[in-house]
Amino acid sequence: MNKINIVIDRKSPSSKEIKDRQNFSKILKNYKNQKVDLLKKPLFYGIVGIASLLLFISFM
Amino acid sequence: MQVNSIFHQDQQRLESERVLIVEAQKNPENFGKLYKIYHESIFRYIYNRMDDIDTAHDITSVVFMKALINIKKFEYRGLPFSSWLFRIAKSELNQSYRERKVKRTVSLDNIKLSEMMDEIIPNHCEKNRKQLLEAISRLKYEHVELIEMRFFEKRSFREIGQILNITENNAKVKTFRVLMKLRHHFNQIE
Repeated sequence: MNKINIVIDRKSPSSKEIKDRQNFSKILKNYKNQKVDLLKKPLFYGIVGIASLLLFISFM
Repeated sequence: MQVNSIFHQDQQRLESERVLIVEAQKNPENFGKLYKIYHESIFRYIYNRMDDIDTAHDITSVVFMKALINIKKFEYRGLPFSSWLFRIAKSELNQSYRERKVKRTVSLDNIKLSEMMDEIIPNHCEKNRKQLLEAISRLKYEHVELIEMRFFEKRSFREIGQILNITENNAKVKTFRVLMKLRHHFNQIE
């Protein structure tokens, strides 16, 4: 069985069509949401908590 | 063989690109300038390897999203920013093939196929053309990629090397070996 699918002379979208699909705002929004999501994760607070505890113990 | 000129940036362009990278590292909103410059070339790289245009647009977005997340880790080494983006795109494509369980698409055009035939076989008859396509489909996935970048996307060995994270010389040697394999498969089909 062929592992690849060969297509010949497929119509390629124009530069304008590609440009019309650009959406940097959506990427930026997802990026900001992803940063917020990290703050919502219990694991994040777990790691911060353990690190703070270790820091506290090391100063005692 | 004529190669595309987009990648061959002069020192002045590389330097102005470096300024854009530093700006994006300071503020994610500045990444938009790099996005506008490279969106089309990254999309075309992905679409040439996909069967579906909407999926290609989705993967392009993921590539830029990942680049934005990791921009602070990016270290400028005098290479075009696009080589880093192409490497992310390559990795995202591989992940997409695995997740969607689809065959990898190779998008060829007849004119460039004829140019490639010059390097393999002297006679450009229809039988040989079909035979060459069959020989390409028998190549390994990573070998097809070299053929695709060199002959159908007209990339220089330097650019191929940077996308595949190998030296320019290694890219040249590997492409030569793949051509030998292709000739071998071609002759086996006869």
